[in-house]
Amino acid sequence: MSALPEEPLLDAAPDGLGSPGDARQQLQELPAVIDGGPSCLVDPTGEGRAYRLIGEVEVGLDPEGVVVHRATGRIYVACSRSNFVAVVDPEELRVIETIPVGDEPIDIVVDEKTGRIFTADARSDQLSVIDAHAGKVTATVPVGCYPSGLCIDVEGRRLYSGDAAGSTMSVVDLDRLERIGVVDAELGAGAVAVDPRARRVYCVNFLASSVNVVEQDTLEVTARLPLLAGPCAVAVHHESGDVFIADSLASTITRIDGCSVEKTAEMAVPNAPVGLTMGSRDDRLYVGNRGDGTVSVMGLDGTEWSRIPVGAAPGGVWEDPLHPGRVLVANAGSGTLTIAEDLLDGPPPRPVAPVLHPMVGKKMPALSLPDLWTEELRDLGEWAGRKYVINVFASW
Amino acid sequence: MVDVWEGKGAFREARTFCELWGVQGTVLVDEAGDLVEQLGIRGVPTNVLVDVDGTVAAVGASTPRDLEAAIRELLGPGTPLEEAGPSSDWHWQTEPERIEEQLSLRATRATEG
Repeated sequence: MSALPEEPLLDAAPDGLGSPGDARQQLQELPAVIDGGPSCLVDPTGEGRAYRLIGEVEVGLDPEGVVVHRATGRIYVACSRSNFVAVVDPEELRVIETIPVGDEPIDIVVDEKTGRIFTADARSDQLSVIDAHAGKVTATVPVGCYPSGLCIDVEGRRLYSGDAAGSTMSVVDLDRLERIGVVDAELGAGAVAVDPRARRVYCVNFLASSVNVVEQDTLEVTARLPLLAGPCAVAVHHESGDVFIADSLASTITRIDGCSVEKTAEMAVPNAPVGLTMGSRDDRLYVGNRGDGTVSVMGLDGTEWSRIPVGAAPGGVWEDPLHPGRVLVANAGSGTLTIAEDLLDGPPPRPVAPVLHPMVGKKMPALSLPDLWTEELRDLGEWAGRKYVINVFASW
Repeated sequence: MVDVWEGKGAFREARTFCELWGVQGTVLVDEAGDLVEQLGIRGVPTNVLVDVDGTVAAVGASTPRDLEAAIRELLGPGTPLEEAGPSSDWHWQTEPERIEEQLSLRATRATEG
């Protein structure tokens, strides 16, 4: 394969949108609320639209996690390099307040019983507890080193935290706001998910490329499965208990049978899946493709139903519980929140088709950038007449 | 390599990253995101393969297997290239001991702090 597949999302756009690469610029030029505008022209069914872009809101630096507070309907975005949570009004599509938390908040979850919001402050080795009505942090909970993934068992009144540098999973009592247990996980422990019916917690280890299966009642690790490279997000199917894990460096989603706890499939996604959530209809996944600037709407069999262009380098993805089908995406690269609506009732007649990136076959633009170590400007002339690979990366 | 979208402290963050992961070779900093905007790049990691005449041959190819295939195509038939190996071999192309050392140093500092 010489280029990443991309859906010809906008090829048929009658307003002159010519390529997926133009989509973001076009989106920025559109009004905040798009209701039936040109970004809604994706139509794999031939009958109706696949998605609708509602808006994109600047929130802060490197937003990674996003959640909706049911009582207020507001959207809370953990901006990891701004060290705050941005509160977005979904009607006005703007940040109405920022709440300072600890250093590098990565993940964010809400306790549906109390309405408290929790952030995993990675570089503070703590959780911040936010009172949404007061708009401030009212408590902190020390956990393991570099917490980077959270999940909540509302009925069981527990919160689980994957502590990446500590290679542990912390267990926190949601009412006492205390750490009540520590489970030995592995290096890069991050994403966690709970299956309350099976009484299991899954702890995904990014650096060890594995998942630990933990019994909720005893906190014993009962199984370990090796995964492909860089697993960093996990979701559980509500009905079957099947587990889906995003392998960010392999660009796949691994499916694990909820009964046998065995791998049953490795399903390809566009590029570097970092965010993953189970759709409320239980028939699809939403996958944030960090390497592609898109969110895939994906059937549980691995078929990509549609691909929604969002901001740069998307991470956390969440479905608004108050508006089923409304997808919220934290875009780490562009520092924005994208709000989109998945309009598909089920699998489309044909899945997303691959296309070449619009730059393929074109000349490299002029390049003059400072060297990381010397800070001297360097330009393309240095590499003229050679074949080369440019790897574009970010440190987060 | 080109570092992008750091938000703030780009040089400091990128240097820390390169030291942690043992990144060697030329690293440029696209602090304002100009190059990625011109290239229409919307995510990381992304590889851009450029042919001898300056033409973009491929964009994407972020997994080792895809990158190997794209490089083979860029180099043409008959050019020897070391196999990327099975997926189980390319979890991390840096020394795990080095990562553990860095992370445990951080953990120690956090405890002491």
